[in-house]
This record gives sequence, C-alpha cells and structure tokens, in this order.
Amino acid sequence: MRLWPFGVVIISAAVAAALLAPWLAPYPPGEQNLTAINQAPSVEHWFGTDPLGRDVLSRMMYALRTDLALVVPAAGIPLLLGGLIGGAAAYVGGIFDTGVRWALDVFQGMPAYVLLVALVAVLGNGASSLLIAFTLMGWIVYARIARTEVRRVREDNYVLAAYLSGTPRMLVFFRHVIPNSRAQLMAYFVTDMGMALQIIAGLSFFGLGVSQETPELGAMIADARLYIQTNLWLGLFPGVALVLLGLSMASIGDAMRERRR
Amino acid sequence: MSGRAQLALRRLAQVLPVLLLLLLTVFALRAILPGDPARSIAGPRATEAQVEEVRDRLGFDEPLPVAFASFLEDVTQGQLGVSNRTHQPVAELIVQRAPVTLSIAIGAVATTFLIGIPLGWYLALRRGRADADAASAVLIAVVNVPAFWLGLMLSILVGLRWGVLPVGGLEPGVTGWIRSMILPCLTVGLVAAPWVARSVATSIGGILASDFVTTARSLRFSGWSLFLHHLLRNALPPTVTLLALQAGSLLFGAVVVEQVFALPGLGSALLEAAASRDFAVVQGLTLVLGAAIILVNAAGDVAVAVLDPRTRWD
Repeated sequence: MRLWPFGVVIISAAVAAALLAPWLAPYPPGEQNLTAINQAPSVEHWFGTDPLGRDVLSRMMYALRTDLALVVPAAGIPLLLGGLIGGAAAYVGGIFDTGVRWALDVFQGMPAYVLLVALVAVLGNGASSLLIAFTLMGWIVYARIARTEVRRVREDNYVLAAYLSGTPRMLVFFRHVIPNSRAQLMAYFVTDMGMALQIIAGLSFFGLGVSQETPELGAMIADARLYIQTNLWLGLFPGVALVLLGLSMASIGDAMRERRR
Repeated sequence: MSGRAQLALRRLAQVLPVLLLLLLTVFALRAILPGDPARSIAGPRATEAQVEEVRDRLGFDEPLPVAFASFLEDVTQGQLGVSNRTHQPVAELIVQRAPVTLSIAIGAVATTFLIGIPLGWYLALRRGRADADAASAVLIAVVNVPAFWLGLMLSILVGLRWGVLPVGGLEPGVTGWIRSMILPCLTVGLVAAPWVARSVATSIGGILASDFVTTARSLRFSGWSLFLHHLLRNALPPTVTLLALQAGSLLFGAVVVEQVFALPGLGSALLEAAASRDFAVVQGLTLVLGAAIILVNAAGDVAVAVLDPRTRWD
C-alpha cells in the first residue's frame, strides 16, 4: 500500500503549523487560564486544556517548532559529516579507504542508543548536547551508504568522460559523483529524521532533552503523566502526533529508497 | 577445527576492537564533563578533601595513558566507582538491578517472537490479498509508536481502567514478579514484533517460491514435515540475525519501559543517574549495558552460523 502521499500531506501540515504557530495558534503557548483546566476537547479548545489551563493545540504547535527545528540538524549534520567521510574515502581509495572501512566496521558495532543517553547525561540538557550526541552516533550509517554509492558511481562512463576531458578530480567529485550518489543518502536522511524525532521525544520524556520550559511533544506527554487518569486527551494528542510524524517520514524515506532501485 | 567453529572464533575476534573502543569512549566521557570533572564525579555535596580523593583515585593529575591503564585495571577488577548520591558501589547496584532488566529482555524477546513469527507467516501466505495488505500497513504504523507512549497508554487502559495488572513497581513474590513484567514485555514486544514479522514474511516468501520447496512438494512432503525441515530451518537464520541486530533497540526499549513502569532495573538506574548527573553510575552502566549489546550482537551472528551452514563473513 502506498502511504507516502499521506506522509507528504502530514509533514507539510506539520511544517506549516510549526512555522506559522505565532499567527495560527489560537492562544499563546504559555497562557494559563485557571478557570478552564483539564478540559476535554471543545469548540474553544480543540485539543482541550492542561492542568494549568493552557491550550493543548497551541502548545503542540510550538512543540512542533522545537521538535522539527531539532530533528533537521540532528539528522542533517551526520548526513554532511558521514556523507563527506564515506564519499571521500570511496573516491580517494587506497589506505584512506581501508582505514575508514575498518573504522566503520568497529563503530557500527557500538551500542548507539546507550551511548546517546550517556553523552546527553554528561553534556547536560539542551539542544547543543543533543546535536553533539546525534552527530557522534549518527555519521556512521551515512558514511557507509556514501561509500557504497560513490564506489558504484565512480566507475560510470560520465565520470570517466569528465576525467578524459581534463576536469580536475575535485571538480568531478563535486559536480558528477556527489549529485549521482545522493539519492540513497537523502532517502536515509528522511527515515533518520523520523527516528531522531522519536529519540528526542523519548529523551525529553525522561527529562534528558531540551529544557523543561520549552514546549516539546515528549515533555508534554511526561507532563500529562500525573493527570492522564482523569484526562486521557492530554497524553493522546501529542502521542498520536509523534506516531503520525514518524510514520510519515518512514514512508517517504521508504518510497525514496525504492524509487531508485 | 571445523569451519563453523572457525567462523565463530573469527566473529568473536571482531568483538575485541569494538569492546576496546567502548572502553575508550566511556573513559573519554569524563573529558567532556563540563567544569572540574573531579568535582562533578564527587557530587555537589562533596567536601574539598573528597574532591581531592576522587582526583587522586581516578588519576586526573596523571598523563592520559597512565590514567587509562588504571581505569582498565579498575574495570577488570570489577571496580566501577561509587555513586555520588547513594555512595553505593556501582558494581553492587548493577548486580542488584540486573534481574529486572534480564527478565524484561527475555520476556520481550519471547513476546516479540510469539507475535512476530505467526504474523510473518500470515503475511507471507496471504501476500497480495487485501487483509495482508491492511495488516502490513498497520505494522508500519506500529513500528513508529514510541515505546514510552505505548507503555503509558497500556498502563492506563489495562492497569488503571481495568485494574488487572500492576502499573508501577514490583509486586512481591514470584507471581507478583511475573505480573509486573507482563505489561513492560508486551510494550517492547508490540513495538519490536513488526520487524520480525516483516523479516519472516520476506524470507518465507522467498523460500516458498524456491526450487527445493517445489521439489519437496513433488516428493509429497507437506504439512508439519515440510514446515520443520524445509521452511523453518531456512527462515530462522535471517530472523535471528535481525533480532540480534535489534538487540540494541530492544535493550533501549527495556530501558524506556522500566522507567515508565517504575521498575528497578539497569535502564531506570541509567536514566535516574543521567537526570541527577551521577557520573560514576552513568559511566558504569554505559559500560555494562554497552558490552552486553555488543556481545548479544556477536552471539546472534554465531547462532546464525550454527543454524545456517551457508554463512560467510568477509
């Protein structure tokens, strides 16, 4: 079944909601209305209100801002770093490639999730620790994909033609090799953003993500924990949003990967 | 030595550099501690003398190779430092909390197989029909459900609304232990089962179409004997590999559900220590959990080599 068109719709809606939150959100994200706490969804509050009387929909729109702004670099920096290392290794070859291949084999065996928690624990909460941890753990897969793809492309006739016409090696790399080995990397990038979203939300749920005051989907679910028995909506909406976003990114990533086969 | 034993040994030899890198990484964690690392490790309430003691014991004044050597010596002797909150030795904490994590891990793997394998067969045998298509769409959705959220929702529905199972902490006794494990295992199992189901469906699909099954059928093999000798034997290795490769995320799932269900395991210890900046505990648990994942991955590969004589590693 083709899910990716739904994915594109959901992601577009999420990006629009995040970008336009200051204009679209019905209430300011921190505005408390103590006369209307823990409400079920209604016409005034589409997704209900939390124990402080804050509008859940508005908070979720701002939470999307936080999450999407983190997810793009959390997958994007490893993409650039890993892509460059793996791509350069395959292009240059020789001892450099052997070294990188050996390093990848060793690094790939490392327990990424546990080290991610440890790194965030040591570096402290906040966006920069999350990004450092994701970069250190995430570049490996990208480097592996880039290495495979560049090895495939580097023997192609148009690359050979570029050499023979006297184009410098560096220029061939950036003008011909990279554009033609990009597809699989981009497919994994989209999938990876979905995984990063789940992990960032999970870390924030446990108090290891961004600071407590910032609206964030995982942190919203954590806040809902104490009240969820009386107000299930509180945990339901942010959770469903996480599932839908993860599903969308995964299905788009899958579709991109298969299209190139 | 037989070929398979050689393969197994070679795979185990590949583990050594990975373990060494893990040791180096865990050792290096203290280098990225913000501020004075000795003070962070000793904890916020430590006296000047205690900070000095930590600095001396962990060799912060010594050159890095010397410090790493003494770190290695401590680790090999099972000395993983002392918690700065509870002053409990980390090794003791690990021994105390490992049973919960082991129970969840074993229970979760069992649940994953019990849900995943039949589901995979169903998908493979009914490939292309509407119900199998719908089921695979649901599976893709389930993969994207965060374990912590699923755990929370299950605890509300099954635990609080129906009041059937405990939602937090360990109940006393053996039955209580098992009852406390059901929801956590189900949470991890539900999230992990789609991976297994997909892998089983793919390999069964390939096997059903293969020549040896046609031959076996023409020789009047059918039912259980076809299943056991031809299908299961060939479908199992890729599933075991997948499960071993998923060990990391399964273990992370266990980490997550322990905290959601307030169970005293290694994962909740890691998250508590992380939240309270208890550095020695973070370091010790990262080392032990990390090494466990690395070894499980290797064990999975070795198991595949035993199950499938065609295995080759390059």
